[in-house]
Amino acid sequence: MEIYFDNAATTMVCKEAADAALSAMTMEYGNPSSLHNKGLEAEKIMRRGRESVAALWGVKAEEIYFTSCATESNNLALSGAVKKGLKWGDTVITTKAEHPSVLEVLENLKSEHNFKLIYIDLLKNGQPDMDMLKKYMSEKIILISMMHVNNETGCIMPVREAVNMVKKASPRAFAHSDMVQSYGKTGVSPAMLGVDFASVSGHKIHAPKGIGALYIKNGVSIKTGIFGGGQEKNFRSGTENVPGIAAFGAASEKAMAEREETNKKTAEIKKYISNSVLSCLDGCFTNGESTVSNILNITFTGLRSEILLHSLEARGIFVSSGSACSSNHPSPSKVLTAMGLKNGEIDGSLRFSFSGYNTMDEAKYTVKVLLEEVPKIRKFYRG
Amino acid sequence: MADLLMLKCGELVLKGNNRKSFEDKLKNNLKWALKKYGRFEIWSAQSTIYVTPKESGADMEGAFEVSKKVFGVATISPAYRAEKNFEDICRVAKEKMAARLENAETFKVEAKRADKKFPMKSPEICALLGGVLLESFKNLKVDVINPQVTVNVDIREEYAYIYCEKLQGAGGVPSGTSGKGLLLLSGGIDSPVAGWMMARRGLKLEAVNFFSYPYTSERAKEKVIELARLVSEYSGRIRLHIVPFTDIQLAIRDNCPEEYLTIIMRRFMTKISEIIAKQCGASVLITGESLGQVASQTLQSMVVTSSVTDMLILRPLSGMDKIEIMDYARKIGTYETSVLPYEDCCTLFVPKHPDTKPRMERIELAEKKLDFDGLVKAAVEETKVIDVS
Repeated sequence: MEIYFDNAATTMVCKEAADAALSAMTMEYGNPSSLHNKGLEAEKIMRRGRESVAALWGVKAEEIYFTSCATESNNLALSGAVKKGLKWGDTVITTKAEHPSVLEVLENLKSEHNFKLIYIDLLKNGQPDMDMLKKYMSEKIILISMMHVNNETGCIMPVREAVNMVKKASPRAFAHSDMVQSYGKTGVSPAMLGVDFASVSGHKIHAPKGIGALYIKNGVSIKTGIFGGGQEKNFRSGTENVPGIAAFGAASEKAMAEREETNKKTAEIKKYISNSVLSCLDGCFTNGESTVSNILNITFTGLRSEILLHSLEARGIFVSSGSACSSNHPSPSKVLTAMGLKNGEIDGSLRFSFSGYNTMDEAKYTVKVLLEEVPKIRKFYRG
Repeated sequence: MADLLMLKCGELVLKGNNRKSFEDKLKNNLKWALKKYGRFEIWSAQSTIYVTPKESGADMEGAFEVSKKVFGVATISPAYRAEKNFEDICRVAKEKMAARLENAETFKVEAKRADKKFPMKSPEICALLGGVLLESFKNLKVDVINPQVTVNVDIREEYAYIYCEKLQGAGGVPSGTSGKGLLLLSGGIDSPVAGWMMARRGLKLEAVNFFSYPYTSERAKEKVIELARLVSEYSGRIRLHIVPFTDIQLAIRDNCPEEYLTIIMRRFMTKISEIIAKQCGASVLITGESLGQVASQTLQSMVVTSSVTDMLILRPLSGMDKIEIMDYARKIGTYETSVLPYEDCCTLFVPKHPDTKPRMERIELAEKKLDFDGLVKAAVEETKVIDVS
């Protein structure tokens, strides 16, 4: 048996996406820039892919710029926006919940340019401290970057409220949101968040790895991200990843058609696991409030989650741990730390993340295994 | 790259009547190591082994690099072939040694004549070739005592061979000429070095690893396999026995005083290793222990650990400092892999205050609470084997 509950890390490629990619690799394999029919074929595939991604995201097709992944999207958007805004502003705001592909980019920009970088604290419930944000309002704000859904806790962040506040204080400010865990699940569009830039990636919604997109709001311009042959309206050059785009489009179409059903299913699975664990096992609590239906973060006190992770793996269940007890990631989860969890609690945190391919039977089996394994492992715990 | 490699056998020449069998073993080991790099001819004459490519695609660079890892080879010289006449010897020496000679100030020529029918005697070759090179390379002076470059001319049956470099080989004696040893291989820095050292003294290696899934991960196992593979580049193929160890660790933790956890665990490891060694025909165990390095490696601990077996345990690192061991690990190329994380969870089984001076009778008493033999037997039966090369 293989139960994959790590869909926030990556997902299985769906058949529709794989078929679309295969066809784009073996049949419509032309270069979209070529003048002949083979090129036109590929261009059509790409156009459809773009439209499908745009439709699921609630944006216009021309607002989408394909990239290799969300990390690249974040890099291009943030460095473009900061460099442009430095002409008139001096403050960049982000949160302690962000993914490294936002934090590291901003830290790197800060090391090269002169600006203030403000990290908004997280409250115990995983939400950003909006009172703190208020204190930093000024007309010198260049950019705010706030993720829409946190990848570790599943918390849905009040991006719109934060962006409104910032734009009111500093009308020229840019707003960016990392929407990787939100895309295809929440039905929220960048326009609804009021942001100028947003990033997504294909492999979180059953498309393959290697394709992502950046939303740039119509009318907003930043400098070219990658120079070359002028593809993606001269913003991100490089021969387009047509198979990736085709697959991204196909996966988006499927997600669009099945979104409600999938959300219902994942919500049911999440509720079942969460309720069963909290009622049957002592010393457990969930992390984060206002969360998406497909991410569940549980702290099992009195054990090391990595050992539980491997015990589950041995029974065919794949999940993620909040922190690795090996020194691969010597520091415990920054998000859980920012939420005020103690080190021992972070050590005991597991993330279960679901997709439409999961079933209630899998959830039931997982609960059964957890009820067996957790007490066993706790017996040998030493803090 | 050179036409051929000339390998000097070092210690082998001391082996008297056994020399031939040592040399044959070395040639076999070389053959195995060179397989990846194409077809080569390997033959020996007068304590030198010659490696020449048998096909145009053979990778001499690769052969050179891998020869550095074959035990029993003292020095390696990339050499060039010349026809057996003085003109061709001069031509090859001028052409092929140019890069070295142009950048040197002093040199000498050394000649050896295995083929006594060659019309010039060795001192004559030295003097005349020296003169030719002096004329061609105006930067050079002769220094017979301490030259920067020595041009060697070796007159053999079929050709003359010319070389100027003598690079250090791996030394030691050919793997497999001293019997077989079973290495207790962990994921750490020490045990791969211990295995390498004993392979260098001629032991063929098998290895045993104790695997505590899920307390250590599948990646930890992959790391051990990679370490075995790195050592096998020197020692030849290693059979790795992976022993499931979780049940034993849990049983010890459940039943024995915490301060004895490690020492009892090591006694289990030693006993299981002994049984596996006997099964696979190894006559000695090898560990990476270094005296006093950690609590389980104090003298008393080693004595108590050893006492579960009659089998000889070799501890080649016992007299070395950690720094020295790390230097070796870097030199043989296992360090980077050894320091990868992946196994810190097994610290769960490390007592906070281990007994550094365990007393035999207390340990034996503590073990009475366990079905020692039964646990050992079950672990041995469940052991999986992987051949690594």
